[in-house]
Amino acid sequence: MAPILYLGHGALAVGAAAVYLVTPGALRTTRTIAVLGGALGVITVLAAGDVGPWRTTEPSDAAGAIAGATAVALWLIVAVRPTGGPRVAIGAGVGASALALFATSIWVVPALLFLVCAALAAGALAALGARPALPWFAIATGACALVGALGLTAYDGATWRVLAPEGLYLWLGYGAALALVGVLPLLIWQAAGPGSAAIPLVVGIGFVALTKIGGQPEPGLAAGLLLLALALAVGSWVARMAMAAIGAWVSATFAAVALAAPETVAIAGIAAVVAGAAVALWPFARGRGRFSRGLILSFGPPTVAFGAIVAAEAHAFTRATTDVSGEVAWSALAALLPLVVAAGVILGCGAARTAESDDFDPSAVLATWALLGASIVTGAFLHGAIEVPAIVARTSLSVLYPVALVAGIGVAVRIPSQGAPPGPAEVTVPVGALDLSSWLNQIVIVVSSVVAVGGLVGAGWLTYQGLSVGFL
Amino acid sequence: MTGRISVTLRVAGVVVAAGYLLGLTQGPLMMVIGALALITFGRGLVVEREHEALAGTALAVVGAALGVAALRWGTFDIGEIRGAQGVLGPTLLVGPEEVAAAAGAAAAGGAVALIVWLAEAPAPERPERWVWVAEAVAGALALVTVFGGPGTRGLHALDLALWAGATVATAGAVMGLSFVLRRAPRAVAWIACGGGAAASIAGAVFVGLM
Repeated sequence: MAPILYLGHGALAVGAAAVYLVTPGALRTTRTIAVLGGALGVITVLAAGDVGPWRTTEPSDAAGAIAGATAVALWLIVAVRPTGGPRVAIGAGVGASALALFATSIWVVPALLFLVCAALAAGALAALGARPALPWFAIATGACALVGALGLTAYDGATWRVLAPEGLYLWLGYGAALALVGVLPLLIWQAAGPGSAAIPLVVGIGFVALTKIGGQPEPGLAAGLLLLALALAVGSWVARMAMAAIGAWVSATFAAVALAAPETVAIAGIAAVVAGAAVALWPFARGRGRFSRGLILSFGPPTVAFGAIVAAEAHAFTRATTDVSGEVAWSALAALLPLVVAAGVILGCGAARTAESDDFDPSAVLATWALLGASIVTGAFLHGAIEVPAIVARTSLSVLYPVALVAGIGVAVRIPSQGAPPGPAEVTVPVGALDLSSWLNQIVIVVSSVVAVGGLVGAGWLTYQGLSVGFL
Repeated sequence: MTGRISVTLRVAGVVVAAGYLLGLTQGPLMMVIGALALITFGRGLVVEREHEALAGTALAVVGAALGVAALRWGTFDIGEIRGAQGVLGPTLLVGPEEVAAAAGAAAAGGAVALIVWLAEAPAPERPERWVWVAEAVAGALALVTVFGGPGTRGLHALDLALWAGATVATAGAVMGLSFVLRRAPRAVAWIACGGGAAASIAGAVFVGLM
């Protein structure tokens, strides 16, 4: 099963390339390919821990589930893109396969080669956007630093296995993962729009990286990220919403959750990918799907995002009351996480109430609703399939939510429809946070290229070392 | 349609909160905060963004106040908080006196925030006004359960009567005061929310230090 799940996306990319060569604008065929890819992604999420070892891979509950969710989000965006579909499908297929193999590879050389491949696919997808310079910079620096952290750790440890970095390499790895996850609005979120498909892929790479470099809780770093997330939330609200800032708010929140409680990394990663995909789809669904987008971004129950926050809060609270060594950071985390829930509600409502001109693609609206459905289903029912902390599993299978929903609908249908007030004034939510001047754009592209070459050389050098000792 | 979605979410939030607070479902205190967040999100669909911002801030303060009770007993589980109160007595009355006073400050801060939270809801004159009453009862039930709960000594009629009476009295008081707050300038609501936050934070710090 493993080769089908891991290589299936690549095979679909080959199919998309063939379609592109014959009929570059083939929409229906591209959507069929996207549906097949999405189905593979769903199976990967469900079977992440049970697929068995294959060649250089071993099953990984957390990393595999994140890679599967990323594939689903990628193919969803492929299905939505009305123009340039086959080209996006090629990038999505290559990226999804490379990410799945990076997530499950236990040997450092193939892992880094697949990481580089996934990063190149993300760069190609970002190139379809109007402002690729900063996304390229994030992808290049993040991937290069990750190659350095994992490669040097293995080299120093005289082993070919992927080892969790320590010391300086660990912080290099954290920096790489956070750059990829997109905790700053100036980086990958600039790809929103035509290059949107790059967003879930890069976020997915970042969270898979966290599964490889993390393992120990980092309460101080997590608390700092939560403060950054709250600042982004306030900034977004004051500035009347900006997609880049909202995307960074999502990433900073779930990176903090994953760092506070490493056992939550799977659901934190899935929550970030789902919310990131909702932001990525926003430019295609302006004026529609507002409620679904708002509920996803509010992190409310019973979505997978809320489950991740509850698990992190329980972990932080327990450590704050029992662990003397890092008590201040744990206490800060326990206090900040409920604030994040409240800030999410305000921001989610803002997204749900923002009236934009009806410039939308119906498939993007459907895709946004599908993301909400996926978030709720994952949050409420799939904890048997995805490795989650016990507290989330215990609270998720309750019949309370269906009962509450039925009660709510039962009451709502009896309320006179004239009860709703008029909506707010129409605005257009800006996509990016920063437009670089022409010369600065060139500098960023040159720097990104140099860094990317550095990452490629690093991965190539380690591959050469492997070849020279007969490892490969 | 937005109005109906709003009511659906508000009622669903009340049901979820009641489920956890009445002990029908076991779970952490965060689930109650999540249920109140669901209510706040539902209301935010039909109020102006300034009201929603204040309601969200008040929600954070209510959450902080509830967290002080959890901190007091060293557990995040609602059932365990209820159990601790069943053995030792209500959070507000169990010594040492300084800790009880700190818990009282947090409870007061939470009550003030609850008043602000209710005052920022859609106007009670609207057709779904009884949903607003249910929200007030749910919020009051949360505060009463964690700060003055009846414990789990079985179905003692007196305990249950006191619990229900305290909830109804608290709900009535916060609803009445929220009506007053609705007529006050907006700055008063922000100041009240800030005061509630200060009381809750002070309570949390003191309980944490003790």
